[in-house]
Amino acid sequence: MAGRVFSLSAAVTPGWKLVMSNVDDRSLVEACLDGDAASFDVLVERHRRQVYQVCYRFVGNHDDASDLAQDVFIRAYRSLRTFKGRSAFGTWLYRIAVNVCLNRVSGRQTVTEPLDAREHEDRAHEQPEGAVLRHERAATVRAAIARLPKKQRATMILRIYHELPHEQIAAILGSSVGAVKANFFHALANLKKLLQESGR
Amino acid sequence: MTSSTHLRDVEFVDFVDGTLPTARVQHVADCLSCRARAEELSAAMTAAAGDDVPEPSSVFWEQFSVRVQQAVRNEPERLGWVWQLLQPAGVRWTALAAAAALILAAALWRPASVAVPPAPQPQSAAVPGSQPDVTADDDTFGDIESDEGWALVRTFADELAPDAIDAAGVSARPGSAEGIALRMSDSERRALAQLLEDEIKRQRRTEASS
Repeated sequence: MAGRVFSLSAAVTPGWKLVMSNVDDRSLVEACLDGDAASFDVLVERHRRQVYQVCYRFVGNHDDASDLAQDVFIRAYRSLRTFKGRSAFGTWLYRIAVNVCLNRVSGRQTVTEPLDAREHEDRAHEQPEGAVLRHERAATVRAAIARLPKKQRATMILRIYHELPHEQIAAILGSSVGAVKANFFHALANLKKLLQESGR
Repeated sequence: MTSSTHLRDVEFVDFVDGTLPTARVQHVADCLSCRARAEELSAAMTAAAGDDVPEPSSVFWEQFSVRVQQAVRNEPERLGWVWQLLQPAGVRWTALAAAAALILAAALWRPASVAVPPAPQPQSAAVPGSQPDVTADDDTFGDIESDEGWALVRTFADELAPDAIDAAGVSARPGSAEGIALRMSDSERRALAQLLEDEIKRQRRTEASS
């Protein structure tokens, strides 16, 4: 067990982050299971952006995405013993994130936040007019994606925005590669129709 | 698949991914309907791909990590004695233990007898020789708290995290215990059989001495 090879708690020194950047996810999981809570913090730091982005794609606003991403990590921590290492830790986290998001968005309308609500964004170099146009286009696309059936939506988010291979998406969604490709085909076809309906 | 047949759904996906074999790409170039379809799908993909997730500030990420850290530190300790006992095999042993508990409970449960007066039978429904045998054994929920099998199940349930139980495939659905047993390795099945055998022998000894 990795936790017996090195003590992560003892490694909290000025060079801690450098040391941690060389430790693979599986070793960090094992160290956490051995009682080294600091190793989970490293996993959070490593995967928080990916998890947040998945959540944002599903709910369309920062506040809900932030809450959902936190929920994903808490669930991952609670279930850490069930991570067997058959897939990458990131794939396992994606699976939890997609399940959490699909449960959350079931029967709920995605609320895309207004532009002036996005104070959390890093937009130092953007022209205001460009931002408005970009936001309008993005809102239309998000609204259309939000109307896709659950599996098509999840497949599209993982394929287009996270650029995951079909094999990894299949592992995350518990489907076959063929089913993932079929879902992706229908997602694109439906998206095209929905965008035409909305005049784009 | 010949180059003259139209593309299947999954082939269109391969086309937009850029992984479609050359011969089939040639078909897209030659076939009006396939080309139109492929262009539609590519346009939808381009439209979707143009939407970026706004990047939160570095302050947000720091706060986020702190929030998760605090939430995780406040989580109750989940390493009960059953978990310790079942280490290091983890969830497979959880499944084994849960299956053993379920099977034992089913095999050993003898609810305490509670006298229940026979319900009055409607005269019209009375058929000689076919009266239902209404006895105390029908009251299966008579004294559940004093039952050994139930106590065993309850002990396991108290010690297991719900997410781990889900992950192990343990549920109240009919057949779930059998499903777990089928997924066990030979050594796990032998261990389960030994557990059951020991428990049945112990139960018989208890019954014989009382």
